[in-house]
Amino acid sequence: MWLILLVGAVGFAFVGPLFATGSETAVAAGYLPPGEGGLLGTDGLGRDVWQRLAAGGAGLLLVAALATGVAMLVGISLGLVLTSRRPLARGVGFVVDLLLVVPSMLTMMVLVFGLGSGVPTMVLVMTVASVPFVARFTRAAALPVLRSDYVLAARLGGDGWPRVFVRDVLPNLAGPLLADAGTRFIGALYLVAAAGFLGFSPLGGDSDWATMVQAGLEGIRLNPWASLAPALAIAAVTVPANILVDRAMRKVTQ
Amino acid sequence: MSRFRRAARTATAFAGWLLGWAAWTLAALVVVFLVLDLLPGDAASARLGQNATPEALAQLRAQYGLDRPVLVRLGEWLRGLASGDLGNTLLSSAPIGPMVATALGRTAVLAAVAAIGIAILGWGGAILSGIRAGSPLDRVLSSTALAAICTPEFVVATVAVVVFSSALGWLPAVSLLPAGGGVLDRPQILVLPALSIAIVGSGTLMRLVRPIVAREAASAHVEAARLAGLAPSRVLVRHLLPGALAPAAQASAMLVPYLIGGTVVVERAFAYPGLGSLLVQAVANREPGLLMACGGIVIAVTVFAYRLADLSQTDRS
Amino acid sequence: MASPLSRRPARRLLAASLATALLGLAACGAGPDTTPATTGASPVEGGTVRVAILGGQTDTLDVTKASSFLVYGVALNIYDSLVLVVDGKPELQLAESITPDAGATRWTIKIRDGVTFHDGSPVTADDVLSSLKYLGTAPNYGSMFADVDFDQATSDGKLTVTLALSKPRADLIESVLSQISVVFPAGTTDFSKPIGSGPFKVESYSAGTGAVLVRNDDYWGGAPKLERLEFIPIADATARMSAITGDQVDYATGVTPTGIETIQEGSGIVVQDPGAAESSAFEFMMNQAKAPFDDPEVREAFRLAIDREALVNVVFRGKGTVGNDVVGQGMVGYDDALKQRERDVEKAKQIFAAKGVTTLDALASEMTPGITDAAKLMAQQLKEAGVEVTIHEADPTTLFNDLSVVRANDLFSFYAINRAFAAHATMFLTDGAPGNYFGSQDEELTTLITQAQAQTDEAKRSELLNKAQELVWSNGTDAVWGFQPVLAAHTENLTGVRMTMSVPLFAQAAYQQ
Repeated sequence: MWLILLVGAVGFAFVGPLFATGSETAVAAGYLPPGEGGLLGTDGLGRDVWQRLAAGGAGLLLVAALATGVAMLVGISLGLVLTSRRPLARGVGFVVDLLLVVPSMLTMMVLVFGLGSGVPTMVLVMTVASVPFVARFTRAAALPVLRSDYVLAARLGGDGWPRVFVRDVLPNLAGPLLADAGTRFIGALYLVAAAGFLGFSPLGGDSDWATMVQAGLEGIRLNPWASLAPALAIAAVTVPANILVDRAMRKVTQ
Repeated sequence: MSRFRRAARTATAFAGWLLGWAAWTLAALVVVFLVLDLLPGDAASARLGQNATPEALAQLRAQYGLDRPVLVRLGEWLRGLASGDLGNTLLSSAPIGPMVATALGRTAVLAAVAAIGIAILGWGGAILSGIRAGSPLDRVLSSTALAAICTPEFVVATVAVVVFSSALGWLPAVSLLPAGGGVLDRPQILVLPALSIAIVGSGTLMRLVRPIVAREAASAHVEAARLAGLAPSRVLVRHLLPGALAPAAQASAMLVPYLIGGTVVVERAFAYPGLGSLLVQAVANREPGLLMACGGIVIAVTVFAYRLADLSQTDRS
Repeated sequence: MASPLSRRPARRLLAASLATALLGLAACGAGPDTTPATTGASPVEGGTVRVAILGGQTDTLDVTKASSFLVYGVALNIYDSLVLVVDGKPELQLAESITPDAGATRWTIKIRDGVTFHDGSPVTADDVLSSLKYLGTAPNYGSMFADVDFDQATSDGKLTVTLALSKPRADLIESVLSQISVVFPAGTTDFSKPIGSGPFKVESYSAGTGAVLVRNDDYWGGAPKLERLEFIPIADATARMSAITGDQVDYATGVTPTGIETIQEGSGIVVQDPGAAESSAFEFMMNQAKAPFDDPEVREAFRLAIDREALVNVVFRGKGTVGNDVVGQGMVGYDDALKQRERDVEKAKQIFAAKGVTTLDALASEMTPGITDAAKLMAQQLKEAGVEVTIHEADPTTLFNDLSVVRANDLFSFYAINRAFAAHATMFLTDGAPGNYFGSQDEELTTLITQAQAQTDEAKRSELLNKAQELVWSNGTDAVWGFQPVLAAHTENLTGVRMTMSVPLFAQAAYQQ
């Protein structure tokens, strides 16, 4: 059931932009309640909330997904490096631990301070915030596998580490890592939403769900849906995703 | 003699622990300082805005001392830190130290109230659902916690304002301090911000603690106590909680960095003049010294929490 | 008693004020004085006004280091300024007269006699000169006072200050002194509890919780009715709105049009709309330095293609004034003879087609809310005239570091504080002006402005400036489409609050009973 909701919400986000052609056009006065101004009323600039809802999900999900992808790639590579005991690996480990103690909100502040807001910054923020966790998770998951007999056998058979990682270790970690990616994705979405609320305009402009929630706040007494609908849309992705990830996590850690 | 030695050993361990804490905090701060310097936006360009010309930029950078090598400035900043002088803001020339201290005090009050809320809601929920894992109550509570976690703090804050302030008129929508006064002169302003943090935070805490309680509840000695006919509350206090406490405390410590993010957002939502608002302001006004000072506190607290978590872990093993 | 020398500018100010007062009333009709006072109501003595205003925890009360409106709000209520712009016209406050010599290079400022600071000491010419020097050498006002040569300035130690300028500036009052001219005791460097001679005194200030001001019973202009003011810093506009609807404050500045729409009937809250006189001018700057906007006809076509009313209705939610390509509407010196340019898509389409213009690049950088929306709407409107506009978005915090980013575009969605035309032109329009981002060249305009600055004869100066405005209107590089007023909301029984430089003045305010 959760899967259906998740697929539905994500599907809506990606199909939505195809038919929401008038999402940027003012159709009526601002903050009209549903009925007077379309299915979900209008937002502050008199735009149809339903149309904007349909148009505003894809970018947000894509940025979060992109950031998650980058973070997983970098994090897994670093995590595998961390399994070694060489000085280089220890150095990397030190940096990862250092990044771990910088809360993601602070990472965001520092990078927005220096780079300004926008999609590249947000991807970077979420990558920097996630990589330490992914790396440590990968290391923890990889160590038992590395000590297993077949890895030992492959090493004795003359395979180099890169080959062993790709052929023997990673396939065994696919489950846990996918589950971890789910966690990171939710974290990323959450962070973009917070950036939107703090007025950093994370995706440039105001047409994403996160910024819509914030922008609609001032009219919440006139048309609560301008803020509530995108908030629920975000929840419709994060809640089922979280539950599914939670189940997957339990399965792979048992 | 042996008591003295034990005390000495504890003191050494404690000193070592403190030293490690300071070292980690400092190292992270140096990284933040260097990253901040590498990035293109700076205070001079932010202040000049529309009036930025190359000459004006160079002049203002010189005035702010931004034209000197980064390592020199880092050294100066560290020296200032050691002597307790955090410098002045660039724009308003206000001393940063007292400004941050005042804001920290306000945030500490808010965090304390929120922490009490989190502890009550989180532990309560975890115990209620953990001792009867799989029951309908457990399922309802667990899903509620999950939903709470996934709801951004500002959404919770907004709903709280609409319900308790606009509709019912019980509590103020904006957390304004009395002019020249402190938080405790007007404690009602803390309720909604603390509630907003607590709802999200307690969901996370509950999900961290519930499995531990559930595991303990299913453990042999708790089972034995229950079979021996002890009252449920007695089983809970005597047999279940002691086993769950240490791992749960560790889990709670891991909550701290998430709560910091939530506090920033919630302070902003209620215009509460604490450390989080100050941090947002440091970014908006491009005040590197202020950002470093606020960031330093945030990092110090996070490192403290992480090391506390590690500590309770080593104690257990 | 006005001396013969002072009479001319005084009359000038009076005439200008009458003209703008009439204009102001006709244009907006919603000034503070028109707030409907319930019949039979009378102002009462005393009361506290809690003011929600943009501010933060880093503010100090030194105006040369102001980063928010709270600092100005406090300053303009505790200090006397020599001259202030209220409702678009300069109004002498502490100064009794401000008069130029024939060449407008030497100005004499005479201040009122018998004015005292809050500590009882008299306000002298030395204090005035020292204050002006302090302001004029600070980074944020330095460029404004650039033509004042402080080394040559003198004070007679009593009531007269003489300012020497390095070049003629007949517009000194509207372009320089009325922007900032607060007076504090000579030698003040500690602004933790500043002293002024204004209608209110600082009782306490702490960053984060704000400033408490109390009435100055000895004020030369008559003691204010209000007993106490609290300026409370709130950074977020929505929070300021919540504070006033939740009865936590009595006056909220800088509220948004959408915020205003959420005010419910019968809530006892009214809106103060000062009109164009207290507003920001929104415009599209055209890049005259390269094709196609180097051609005046194409500039004309662009100005005909945009729908100003739609822009004001959508971007400002209808709370604003339609622009007519010249900044300074509602302010002293604005040429009211200019014909309002109307939209003519067909004509624009013809010109664009004839000149082969089919695509344009526009830069939008959200320096203030609405800049990007304006650009998007403009792109829709240009499509109707057969031109495809591509919008490039840039981060506002670093935008002006590198003007080549701006110059790569044909159009720039921009806003500036609405100032008197003479002031705006020297800042943005003339050759080499700091805000002339595209490096546009207009010799004729630059000459006219320079001549006007040297002309002390009011009628002749006005003629020159009108000519310059006509030139900007017909041939310039700006398409000024609207003026967004600084809106405030307050409880309806509070009256008499005046607005200047986006902050409220409470000297004449009172609660009604």
